[in-house]
Amino acid sequence: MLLPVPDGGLVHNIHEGPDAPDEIVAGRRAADAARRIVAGLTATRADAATLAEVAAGLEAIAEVLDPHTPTTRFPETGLHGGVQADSQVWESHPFIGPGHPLAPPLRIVREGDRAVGTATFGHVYEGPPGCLHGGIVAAMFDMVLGAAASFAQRPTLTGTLTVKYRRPTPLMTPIRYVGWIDRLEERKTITKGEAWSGDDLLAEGEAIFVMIDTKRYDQPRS
Amino acid sequence: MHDLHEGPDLPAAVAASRRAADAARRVVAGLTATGADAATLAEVATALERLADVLEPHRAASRWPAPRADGTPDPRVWESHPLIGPSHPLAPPIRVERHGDRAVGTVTFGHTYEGPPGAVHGGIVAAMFDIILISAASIAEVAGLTGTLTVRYRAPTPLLREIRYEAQIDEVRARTALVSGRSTVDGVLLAEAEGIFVRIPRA
Repeated sequence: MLLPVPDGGLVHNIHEGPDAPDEIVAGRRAADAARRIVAGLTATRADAATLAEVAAGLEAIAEVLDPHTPTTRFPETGLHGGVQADSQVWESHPFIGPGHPLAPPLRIVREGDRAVGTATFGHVYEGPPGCLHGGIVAAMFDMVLGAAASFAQRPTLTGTLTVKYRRPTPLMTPIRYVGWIDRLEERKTITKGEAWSGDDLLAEGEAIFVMIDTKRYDQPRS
Repeated sequence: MHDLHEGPDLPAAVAASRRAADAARRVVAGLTATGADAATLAEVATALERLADVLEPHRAASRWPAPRADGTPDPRVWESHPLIGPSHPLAPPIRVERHGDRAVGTVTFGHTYEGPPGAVHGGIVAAMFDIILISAASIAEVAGLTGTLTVRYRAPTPLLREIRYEAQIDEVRARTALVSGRSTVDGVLLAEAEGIFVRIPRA
């Protein structure tokens, strides 16, 4: 059994409030600056000379970071503890991690028996004009449905994910993803969810999560 | 199969934006689960903020430039695409080619895209299928939007190995196209997917 997820708070173990450790505060500041860089480079109108100057600056920064760059987000702890695992695992998560420059980040809280995720997307994630890329929509469902599945306190991985797209997801407006457990089977947790912009239903998702042997993921990795 | 510049004679602006995107990918990878201490990260943050200020006046609100006079899309749309764009720091990028009636994508993921230990995040796997299935649909000139996407995960997708995505059209109907695909590493099946794409009527 995994640890229970407290109601009304973040589903994943991510530091909140003013008392985060110094390296987390500094890591989030660096990630926010990197998000600005990513957004600044996406379809930029800068000329070649400006871009060459920025590239040289980024290469110098990369030299500073390279000696500290791991090959896995899980240097020591494995996935022990699921959603309440070591906070570093969630701090560096590609969709929900405040310390990961590619994460919007999506923020997921528990509201009773529902996992509720919120995110606002800029043109970094743009597929068709003015709209979120459909692949990112699917990724958000994977996260929120996985968060809902965690309420059953079973260690699982995604088995099948289905997304039905009803209308395009707009940029620059808060999107709300809601997920819940539809039913439990012996080794499967079946979840459903919806994406909303205000009163508009944007997409529906369904995912089957399959129980795993956690020993496979709890081993320390070198 | 998308309209992307290739070869040695890149326009200067494209070459410079790809160099900047490559450097940004290194920075993103460097910040993901970094072992750097708070002082180093504060120094990096300050340097990044300064570069972000340089880019700010040139920042776009949308990836989509005005359409060209002949109505064809500007190739910059693919250059800045979030999954296939060489100039988009978020894109791994995946390289998509047409092989006969199939779309074939190849991509290698680092820990930037890691979900479970040593494996690509399932949401990223799904996003890659979205682009490869749409690419296959486009071979039949089905300019479409994703209607339904289903992904079945058979085995974890490993990091730092070349992953091959491929897809083909199964059926073209009046208003939809059915497309299916799979991902493999060295011939071993990792995931399968199906998509229903809704056709946009040609004007």
